[in-house]
Amino acid sequence: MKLAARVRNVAAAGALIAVAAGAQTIRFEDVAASSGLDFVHQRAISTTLWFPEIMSGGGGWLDYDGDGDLDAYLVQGGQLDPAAARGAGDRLFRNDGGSFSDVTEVALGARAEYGMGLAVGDYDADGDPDVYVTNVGPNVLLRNNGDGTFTDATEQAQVGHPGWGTSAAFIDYDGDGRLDLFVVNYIHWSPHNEIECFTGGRRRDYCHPSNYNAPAADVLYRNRGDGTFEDTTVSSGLAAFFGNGLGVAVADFDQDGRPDLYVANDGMPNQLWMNRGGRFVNEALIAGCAVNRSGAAEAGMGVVAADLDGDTTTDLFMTHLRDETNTLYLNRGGWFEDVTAARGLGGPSIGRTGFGAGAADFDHDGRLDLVVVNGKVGRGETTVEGADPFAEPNQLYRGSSDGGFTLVPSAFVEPPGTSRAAALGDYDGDGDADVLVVDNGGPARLMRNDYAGGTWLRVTALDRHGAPMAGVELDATTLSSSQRRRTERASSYCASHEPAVHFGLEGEASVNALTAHWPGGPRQRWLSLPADRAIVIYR
Amino acid sequence: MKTATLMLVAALAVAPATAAGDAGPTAGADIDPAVTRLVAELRQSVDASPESAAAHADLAIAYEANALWQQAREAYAEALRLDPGNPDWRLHHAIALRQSGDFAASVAELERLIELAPDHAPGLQRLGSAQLENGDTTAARATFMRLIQLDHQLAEGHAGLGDALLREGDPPLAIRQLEAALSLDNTYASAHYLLGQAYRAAGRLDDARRHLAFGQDATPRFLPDALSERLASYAVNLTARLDQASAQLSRRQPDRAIATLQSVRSDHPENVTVLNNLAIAHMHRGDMASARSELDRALAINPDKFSTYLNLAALSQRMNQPVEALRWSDEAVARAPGVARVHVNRAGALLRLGRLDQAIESFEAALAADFREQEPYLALANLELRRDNAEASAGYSSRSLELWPDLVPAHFLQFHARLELSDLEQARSALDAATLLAPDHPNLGELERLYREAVEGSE
Repeated sequence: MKLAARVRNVAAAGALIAVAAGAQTIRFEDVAASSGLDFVHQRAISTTLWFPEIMSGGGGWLDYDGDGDLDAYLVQGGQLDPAAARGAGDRLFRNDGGSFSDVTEVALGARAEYGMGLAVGDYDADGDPDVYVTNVGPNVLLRNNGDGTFTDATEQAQVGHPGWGTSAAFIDYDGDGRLDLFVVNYIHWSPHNEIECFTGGRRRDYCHPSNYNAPAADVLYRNRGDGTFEDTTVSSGLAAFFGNGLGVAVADFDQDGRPDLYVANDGMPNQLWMNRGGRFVNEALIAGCAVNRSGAAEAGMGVVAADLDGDTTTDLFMTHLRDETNTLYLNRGGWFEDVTAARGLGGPSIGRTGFGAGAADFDHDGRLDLVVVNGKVGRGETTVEGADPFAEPNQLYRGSSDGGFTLVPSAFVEPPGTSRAAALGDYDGDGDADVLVVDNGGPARLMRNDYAGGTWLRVTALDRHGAPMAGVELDATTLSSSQRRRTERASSYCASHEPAVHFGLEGEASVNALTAHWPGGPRQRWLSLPADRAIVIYR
Repeated sequence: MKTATLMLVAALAVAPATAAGDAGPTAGADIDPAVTRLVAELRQSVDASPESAAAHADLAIAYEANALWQQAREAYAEALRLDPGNPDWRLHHAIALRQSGDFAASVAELERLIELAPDHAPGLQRLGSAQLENGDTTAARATFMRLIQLDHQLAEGHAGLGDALLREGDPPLAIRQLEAALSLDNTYASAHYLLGQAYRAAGRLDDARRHLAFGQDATPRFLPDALSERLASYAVNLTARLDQASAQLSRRQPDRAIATLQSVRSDHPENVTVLNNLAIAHMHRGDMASARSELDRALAINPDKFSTYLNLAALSQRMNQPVEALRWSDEAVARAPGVARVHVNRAGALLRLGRLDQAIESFEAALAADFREQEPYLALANLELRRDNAEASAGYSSRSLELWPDLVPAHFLQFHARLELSDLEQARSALDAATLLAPDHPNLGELERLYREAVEGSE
């Protein structure tokens, strides 16, 4: 294949957002209301406390209209009771230079599913991003028509899995150049197998998934290239193990050029699906990332796959239930080591229930930081009238020079909510990563990153159809550091991140060399790229 | 075929929330009636003797036993204010602080406990574990060494020290401590998992794989202390009492279980789960009429609960009514097709009716719903042998052994299948594994004879 190597400069140097001088701590401010991102997730709490009510809350970023900025897709919950009116449906917000307009009516039409999560990818290879929404009930594939509207292509594509879908990822697992689709399922649930659960001395509370004893198998759909998919779950080996799945991350953990999968399960061992040429083998147990370092299966919710220790291998970070720590597994080349405590991520996370998560260099110091959004899953003891009994503060952990992470107090300027999805993206084009937080039963928050210092480079890798390409490994080398990042939308919890990669450059004026390792082997290199630019590279 | 039973309500992992300024539970404030009664009784003692540290501690224990953590931490704090010298109350104050979300305060309280009572073994173990969670391996190592000095027969001390050493990058020393822990208690799952990691770090991959598999279902375990027994007796909430009834049934005490559940029912008359459990207890006692009566009542309250149909099927099986059992199983499958147990029950009914092929389909449906169900693997391996399909049988027993390497019946089935396939090497290997796991098993002699005959026949 002949490769066209071009670099396009799409942003002028310098940050676009003015920030008070001297503001050198990472701080996020909720600008959803002022920017027109007017979305309230509906949580209709039934008297019987149906389990999905407390788990819903997804969304993410996509450039649906191809204008170069990030639009927001937000997944709605609503009413589970079929006898009741369902709810307001998912919403799509168009980004018009940093402020948002609700374009749902024109773009999506009325949707009435009980939604969970979002995956974004150009499955039909026409250059624009399509959308897959997981639901409690049949999932939905929305094909982007390229004219600002979407068409429901679920039936034609045969991907409307009827279970309780959670996170999902578009992934070219067989290397044929077409995006396949992996869907994580939670448990087999219906009102008929809902059960009564109790937290200690309280009368009634939401159940733990183990109470249902009904984990649901995940599903892999292979893209046939004609607008349809075939279910290859069994033939690919993925039916052999499954759990109460909530999170998924795609990465090349063994650096063999093939995308692998990691599935976070709630209260059951996780799966590390190593791609052996189109067939998957679960190596989580021997690799040391099925359970925590004490052998206990934790309540896996969200997951991050990124090079968190700067050694160019992909590590894993997972969020968990309170009384468990979030867990950091460092990739030791063939196996993982749980180093949660040693890296400072143990104690601060024990009192929180983590869901969405993401890694980005929020302060441009060349090291990845971690954002974790929290919210309880049980009513527990809170009896304060009118208060959200599930609300917890969100957290930011700053990556430090010794490889550890330090909790940044008050990084989020917001009242606590019951947060679920966290999707990273530079919605305002100022060069730093912002966070879209979807709360269960509350307004979505657009957490603008107001960090002022450092320099940066943002890279979007496009495939030959002009769509952002997943699975591209990018190495940026400056005078002082070398960093590896990967373009992937899927990770976190029920979320889809911006497909671009962001490098913090510690104040360096340029990147000496940027190397792109495209899926399938070809490699390209660019030299002397000035900092504070958003660039687009083409395969 | 084993008759399925169902105890639906298990202990919950849902953690309680914090509640600033909450004065404590009162009747009607969303608290279990049994807990409300117990708390009211203990509060009377507190009101009568407000300066009695023991009275406050008793109340604290009641709160803790029923997972009312915020109230527990406040009551323990009051008891300690009045009598700061009680190490057990301090330990449980630390536990309540952690459970109510304040990890840092919990660690500080454990440190204070060990300052005051340096030989408090449960406190040392909790402190060492918290230090490990905090990344302070040096302190944890010292804490666990002190625990070992106190009592070198405590597996928990060696396991904790092994964990600290492993975190410090010393696999050989970690292996020594973890092997010591397992020599004291070979059922210690966490120690197996830690040893697996240490072996892996030392390059002993086969050993690593074995111990990681043994240890992967570990749950945290802590040394019992002076309050442990009282905590159990104060656990009166619904979940605890259902667990208590379940334990009584496991100990073959159905009369006690029935008494426990009838007491629960008086507090929760419309609770379908309680009625189902009561029906199961009656079945264990052999009182099928009472069991049926409870299940009919459960159906009247909620006709859509699959668990009631599952138990009706189990009841019919016990009453030798396979047609009825199948009918109820079908109802359960219709309502919860994703639950493996309903398919297993259906398969049992089909087997009783001699419908082998359909039974196999139902067992396969059970595995598709949940690969962790043990019974379908063994049943399918057995049934396929009966259908002269040794290849398929070997597949099922192999798969079960991947999940449960120490499952002796699966090794036996693997042996039989391999023998049928004339794969003597694999048959020998399966028999050796079973012999290692259960050297006194009565079937071994017969299997050895079969093996010898097969070897002689092949020569």
